Amino acid sequence: MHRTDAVARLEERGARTPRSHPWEGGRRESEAAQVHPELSTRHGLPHLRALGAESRAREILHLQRVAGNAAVSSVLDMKSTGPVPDDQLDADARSPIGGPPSIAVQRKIGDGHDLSSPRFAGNHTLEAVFDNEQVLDRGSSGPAVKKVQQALIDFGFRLPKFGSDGSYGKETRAAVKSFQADAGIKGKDVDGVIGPQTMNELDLRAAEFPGPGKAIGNGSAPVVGGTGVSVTLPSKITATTTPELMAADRIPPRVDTPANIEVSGLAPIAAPVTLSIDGANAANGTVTIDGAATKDLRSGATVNLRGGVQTAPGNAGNLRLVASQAGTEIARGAPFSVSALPQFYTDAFVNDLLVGERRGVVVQDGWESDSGNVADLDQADISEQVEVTTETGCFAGGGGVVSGYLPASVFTQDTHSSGTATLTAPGHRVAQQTCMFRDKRTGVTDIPMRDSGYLIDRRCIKVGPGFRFLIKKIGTATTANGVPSGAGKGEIIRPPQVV
Amino acid sequence: MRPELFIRVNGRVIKAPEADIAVAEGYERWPDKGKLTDGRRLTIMATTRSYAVGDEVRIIHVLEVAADRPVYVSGPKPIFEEYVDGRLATAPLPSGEDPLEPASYDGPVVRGPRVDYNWDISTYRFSKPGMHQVVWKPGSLASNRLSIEVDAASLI
Repeated sequence: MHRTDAVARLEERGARTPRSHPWEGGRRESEAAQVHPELSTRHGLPHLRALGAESRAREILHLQRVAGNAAVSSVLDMKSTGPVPDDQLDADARSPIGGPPSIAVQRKIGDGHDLSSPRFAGNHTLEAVFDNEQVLDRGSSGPAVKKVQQALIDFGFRLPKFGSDGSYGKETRAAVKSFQADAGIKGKDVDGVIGPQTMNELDLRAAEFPGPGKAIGNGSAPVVGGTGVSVTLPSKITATTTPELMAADRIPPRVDTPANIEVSGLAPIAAPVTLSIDGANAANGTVTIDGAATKDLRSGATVNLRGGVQTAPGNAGNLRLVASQAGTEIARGAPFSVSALPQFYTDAFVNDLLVGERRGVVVQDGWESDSGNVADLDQADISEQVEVTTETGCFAGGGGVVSGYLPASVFTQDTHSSGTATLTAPGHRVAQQTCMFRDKRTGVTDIPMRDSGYLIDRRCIKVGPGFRFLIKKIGTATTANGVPSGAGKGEIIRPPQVV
Repeated sequence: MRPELFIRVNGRVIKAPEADIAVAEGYERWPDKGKLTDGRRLTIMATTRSYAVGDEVRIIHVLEVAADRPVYVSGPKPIFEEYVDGRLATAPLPSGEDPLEPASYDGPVVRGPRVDYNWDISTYRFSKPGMHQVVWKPGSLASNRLSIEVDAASLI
């Protein structure tokens, strides 16, 4: 800073004074009218000294604006230092009413009287406020205002309607007043206008919190928010019922999927971390967090995500868990969907085939939806895989089969049979059965279905002059046509059937 | 829903080549489907009706079943009783066997109406140019008669 005599003189009096007058341009007439009588009757340092530092500094600015720079220079025995080239001016260096800079600006960053927090340091406009060269008030706009607004939000002072929009309006002024009171500023200095004292308090408060984080997390790493809060979202939002081979992350509807959220470094006065689901709508799917659309956290917690409306086909992966603080996003999880999946195949005996040209058994297939409601599987299909591992005698030459995809929301019946025309010699056939599914909601296909494995064993044995047919189907962990699965539920062992 | 066709490779069942599935996709628009007999219709299809000598001709088989009839959907089911130029080109239908139900079957049985594409794909190569006819006639059923023109030009 160029230390002028006037500055030195004012500092001796305990005032933080302007190094120079910033810009021309008037305030609103009403405000000018409030100041001008004082200028006309009580101008001069004795009056200024009677005011608080912030008011004193602001008074000087008012004097400058109302009476003109020459007048104030005269009062303060200051001299302007000549115009500053345009390229040295801030892009956002605008007067509170948006007028262009028109006269000398005397300021330097690095002059020993600078903002110290990384959040504000180096911003020419805010440095100018700190140096009492201008104030931020209603009508101010630009990046500097935006920085202050974001800081206020991060410090827990709400700007619910406009947020950090870069325009200093009524809402910002109210938040500034709240901050001033919170910072211990007293009396008429609690006015919602940012002068050097308020800027100093903002700077001190900002120093308590590290600067704003840049990265938006992908869910795998903690992300530091603007107040130094660290949030770690789960690396994947997916239910434990999601098969390992399934690339798409999803949670089912109707049931809870726990998600561990780590939150640290949240100051007591800071706004809470708010969890929400980005992208939720009728097409992408809907999700509640502990039963509500949003969830506020002040510390780490395990929250329960519950799918509501399932993701419509063609809209997979449009949902994300988002952590924000006072409207500012600080972490974003990996994409996921809401979709029910089939699992836990069951088979139960229905009837034997004892007459006509077939021998064998009919079984009732069943499975579960991981949502608890099979009707939720209306966009899923199941394909049975059968691979023959033993084929001898009368059964030779058949080979395995697949069913192709059939709707998962409708249970089927399996037939395991052989034609009597075939059962004319001893033979043994062993087949492995598993299932895979596809899900149109998440766009996955050919995913092994959990616990859908069976062994199907049939024999034709000679008994006296004729043959007997024996068949059993037993839940077994196995692989069929390259589709592995754990054991399905059910054991059907039929007594010998007369061929 | 897109038709699913399968083939057997080394004892396993895998998806049929895309070109075969594309042929099956044309079933609804196929101009000369087989005759509907007792609620069942057999149709055979090929990529084109014009081939060169030595080209592989792949025959896609389709069973269309009317309402409430059972459909043995698992497969690919074997093709019996297919004739080329009047001569049996596949295995004959085993005595006493239902042509639409495999000798040993493991899988779902659903009710029609349904179009079932899950049949083996038969392949032929013609060594002589001219018109050739393929028909699938298992038991009392008969498919459309597929006429294939084989051209010698590609031999040049």
